[in-house]
Amino acid sequence: MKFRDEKSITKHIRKLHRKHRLHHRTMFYMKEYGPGKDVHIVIIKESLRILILTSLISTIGGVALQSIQSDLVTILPLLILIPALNGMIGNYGTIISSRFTTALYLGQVNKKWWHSENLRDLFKDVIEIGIASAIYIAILSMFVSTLKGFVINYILLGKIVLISLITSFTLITAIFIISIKAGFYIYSKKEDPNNYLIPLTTAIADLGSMIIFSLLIRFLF
Amino acid sequence: MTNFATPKFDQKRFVVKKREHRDFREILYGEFVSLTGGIAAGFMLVSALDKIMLLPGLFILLPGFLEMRGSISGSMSARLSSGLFLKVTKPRVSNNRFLRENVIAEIILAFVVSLVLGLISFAFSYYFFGITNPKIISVAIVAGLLSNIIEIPLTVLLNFWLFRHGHDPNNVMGPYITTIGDVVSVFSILVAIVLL
Repeated sequence: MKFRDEKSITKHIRKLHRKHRLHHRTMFYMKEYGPGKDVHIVIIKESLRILILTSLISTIGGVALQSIQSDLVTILPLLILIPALNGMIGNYGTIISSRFTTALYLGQVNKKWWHSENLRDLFKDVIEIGIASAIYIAILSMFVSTLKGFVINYILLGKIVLISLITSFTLITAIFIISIKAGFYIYSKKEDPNNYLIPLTTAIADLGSMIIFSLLIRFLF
Repeated sequence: MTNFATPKFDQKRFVVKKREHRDFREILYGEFVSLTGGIAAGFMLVSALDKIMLLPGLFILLPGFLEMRGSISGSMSARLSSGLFLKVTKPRVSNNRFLRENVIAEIILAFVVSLVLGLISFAFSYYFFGITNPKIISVAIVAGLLSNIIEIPLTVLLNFWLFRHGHDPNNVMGPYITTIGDVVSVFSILVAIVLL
């Protein structure tokens, strides 16, 4: 199908919404590309609230970090680990949410989700990669810290691997369950889970990873 | 007579297993690229430990700032990819409305969210730790602006380059944008501390 201008694209999208009874926020939601609007105002309006909310949640995680500042500046591998750990769990939140939503739309999962081979495979994939990644960043952070003259030993290596593993495993499991429960709920309300699950899981990942990380450091050091 | 029947080749199962293996590999590679970038950002933090100590309350600001950078650039990258596929924009830098408006939105969003983050960090550091350090607000704003100067051209150019070379930026940009975002964010915060 060929479109002559932006107006005809918007018209066609609206027609598709009506025809398939799609919620206005669901796929084909491209109103920022439509005519007669200041695109940047639409983008800012729609993004600002969720951005401030997720940043606020992450900042609460930052309070947990600030409380262990003295450990972070003396045990360098812990400081090196923070950006990687913070991003890693968030990435898994995105992967789990988007793949679960796709499976939901394709009709590959139903309410008895624990019977779904698709979800079992997804959980297995993410847990295996999560464990490999946790070990990878722990070892790499130890190695990188030696470049700054930090002396490492096996006990410290064990503790850092343990912190990385426990944080990853706990949060991946929690995010997996929350994504599925929230995903079914949002889907039952005829909304698109894509729009809610990713901000929700990344916020949980950011806050959770910093809190569990800080608690484990308090407990182990 | 013993029946030595050849085992049947289950093509469906083979295809499914192959697909699963590909999913696993795609996630693994993307994740390892992102993690290595995260460790590089951590190394930058350690390298500037003396400067970090100059700014009490920095650890409160850090996770929110990293989150903000990833979210703003990630959304912009996704919008650019959609725009490229919808042919709303061409894969080259030009003064077209779609690209211009996206860049304006990114600049304003980064400024407003940085300001809010700075204010929240200031309030939290005062409330929880009794630290009164207004400098954290200006560091957040300057770092937000600096990171925009570096990250916007990188996001736009990388998106267009990938699209021109036949890749789907949606599949590739995610891990790279978070990696670049982490490194650029930490670098910008450190430069802002030195400047102010």
